Amino acid sequence: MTAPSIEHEDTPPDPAARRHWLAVLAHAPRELLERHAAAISADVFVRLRAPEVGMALLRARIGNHGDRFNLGDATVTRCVVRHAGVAGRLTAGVGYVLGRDEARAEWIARLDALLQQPEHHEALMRDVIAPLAAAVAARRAEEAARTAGSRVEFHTLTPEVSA
Amino acid sequence: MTRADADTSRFRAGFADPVEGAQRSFRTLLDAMAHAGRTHAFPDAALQGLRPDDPGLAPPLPAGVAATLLTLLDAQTPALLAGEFAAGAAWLRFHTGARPAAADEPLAMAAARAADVDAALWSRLALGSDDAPQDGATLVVEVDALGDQPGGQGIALNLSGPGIPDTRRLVVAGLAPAFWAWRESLAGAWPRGVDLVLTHGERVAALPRSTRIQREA
Repeated sequence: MTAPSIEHEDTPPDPAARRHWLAVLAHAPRELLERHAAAISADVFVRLRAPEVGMALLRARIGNHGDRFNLGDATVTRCVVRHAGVAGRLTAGVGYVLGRDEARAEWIARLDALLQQPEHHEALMRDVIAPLAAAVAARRAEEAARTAGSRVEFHTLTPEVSA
Repeated sequence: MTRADADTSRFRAGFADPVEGAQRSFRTLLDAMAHAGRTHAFPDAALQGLRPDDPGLAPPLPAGVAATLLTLLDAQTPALLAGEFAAGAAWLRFHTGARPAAADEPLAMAAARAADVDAALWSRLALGSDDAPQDGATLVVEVDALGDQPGGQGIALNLSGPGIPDTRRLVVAGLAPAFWAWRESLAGAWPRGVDLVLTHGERVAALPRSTRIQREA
């Protein structure tokens, strides 16, 4: 048995941390994701759920209160793969992406399976998730800057009332 | 340890192609229900993925039970895996989304090995109501032997009713006489009742609630 690593052998990774890396992967630009994921051999993974395209119902509430209403359906592709780590530790990686890009869903599932393995976790967080997160943030900042130029501010002018 | 055992079952495979596998298995179950008491084999194309080369990937349930549950269950149906099959709960939830039935809830779907089928289990099965007989439960049982050949061990059943031209004989091993007595006691409850799916390995026979069963002396 190897030295205790980032987490106890049988405890799943912190849900918040996993949510973070899955969100980064789901939003990552395709070409960057491909560069990182294509470097991993496909042989070490077994498909538990082959990539499949389905629909997710999007529900929303106006202004985050009031009744929920059905906004519409979104096409979602998902995939689950299994990986056995050095100590025989099994992890199931999931990949969910908007759209029907099956390769992207499988890349994310593979990275998620490896990220849950203590021996790969830190290296992947440093070499894959951090740069992808930076790329996602940069793209969002660029989009925000572009749309900020056409932003309209609505001010309500209160008439001065002379006493 | 038990938690780890239960957890790892979700790392096991389901149908290789969920649509193909479920459709072919559904056809098999439909034939079995329509020809009550006749044994059918799940086709190879349906069982793709359920008998992988790597034993670590094999489903935690026998192939016929696995194919039946993967085909019939979805997130809307609470299911109970009783006795030894309980170790497959995480696998079932992963592949079908079916939630485990609560302890006080009438069962819509249950699966067990024949030895684990007892009064505590069958008394929990929903029978439906006269207005909604479709709420009656489906019970999937992995029996010790299933066949129509004479001389086999087990209890010989003489079947008649819809889907059976005259009478049909089915020999089932593993289910207690008390179970068959309970099944016979439901005859007057029609259209309420329980539909039985009996599997043995990759073979299946069905005894819908409409089938009249007489045990051979």
